[in-house]
Amino acid sequence: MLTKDGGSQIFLVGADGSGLRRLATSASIDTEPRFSPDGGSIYFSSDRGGSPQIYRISVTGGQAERITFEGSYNVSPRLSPDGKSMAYITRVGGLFHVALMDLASKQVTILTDSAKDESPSFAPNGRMIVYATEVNGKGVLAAVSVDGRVKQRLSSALAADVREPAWAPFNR
Amino acid sequence: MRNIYLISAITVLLAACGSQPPAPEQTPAEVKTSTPTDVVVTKPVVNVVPQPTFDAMSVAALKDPRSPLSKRMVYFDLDSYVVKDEFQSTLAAHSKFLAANAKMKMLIQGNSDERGSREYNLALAQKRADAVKKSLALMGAKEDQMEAVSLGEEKPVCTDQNEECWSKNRRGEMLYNGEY
Repeated sequence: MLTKDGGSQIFLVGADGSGLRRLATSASIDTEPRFSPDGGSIYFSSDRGGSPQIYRISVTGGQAERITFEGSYNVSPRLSPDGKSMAYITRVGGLFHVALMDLASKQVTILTDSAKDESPSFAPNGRMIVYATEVNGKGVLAAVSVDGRVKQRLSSALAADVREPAWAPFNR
Repeated sequence: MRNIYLISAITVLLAACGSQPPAPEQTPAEVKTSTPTDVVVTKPVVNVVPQPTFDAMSVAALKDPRSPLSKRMVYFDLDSYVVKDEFQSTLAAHSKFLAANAKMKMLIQGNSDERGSREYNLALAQKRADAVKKSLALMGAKEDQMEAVSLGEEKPVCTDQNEECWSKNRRGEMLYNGEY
């Protein structure tokens, strides 16, 4: 994602830095791009429809397709390793929760009841989602199972604020 | 004979001039005013040094609360980067100042409140800074005098968890050379 020519727009560039290409053209905010696991699409947040929502676009370009429709604030798309579901952050009544959408049925489940969740990230096995949240004014890491049943705090011992977790690739 | 009288007359005249007692020195205290003595004068007579006229659109006025140029904040609604009408007169003053002072530069810093996605807030704050810059340019400021940057949610002016604080953080802030 680049801020170029004013405003946030999404560009594709080769890993060697060559082939810079604008992917989506709009006068709105386009940000938080994430590849689908098969590499064929990019999911991103945009307010092109009037409020922050999640869209999908093919890496070859074309029309962006809107993915989220419930509520007035849906951002931070993260695809599951099998590409079948998407975790994201949704705002409900002023509170920010981790939500999960089945991409085939479009069914949405809200997984957390904490108020200031951010940056969801799938575990490589696809069964847990780690995210940043706030407890007593401090940034902490937490995790929730994809069915919402198991919740745990991961970083209560840390004194500093914790932000933007991303699951490391598993290297043998 | 007549010449002698002339010389004498001149000499007498000169002597008379020379012997005149010097005029008493006038001090300000002895200056008589035209105020009638039975009227009570409530204001003391002072030497008034004329003050320079205050120029609200000068470089000196940039931080003077009497000048609209001292107003540096544009506040935004939630999720929005629309510049509201209530800020148009402040922006008009700044654009007029920039147009008249080609050497002045402005940095516009966009900010958001701390709720929601950090990355999204970075983009939102950029849009806010861009909107302020665009408004100023439309009213006469030169594009190359201004730079719009985003601070996202990283530089709040307050950290309370309430709308009063959040609304203060949803802002575009205008800074001139030497202030950043």
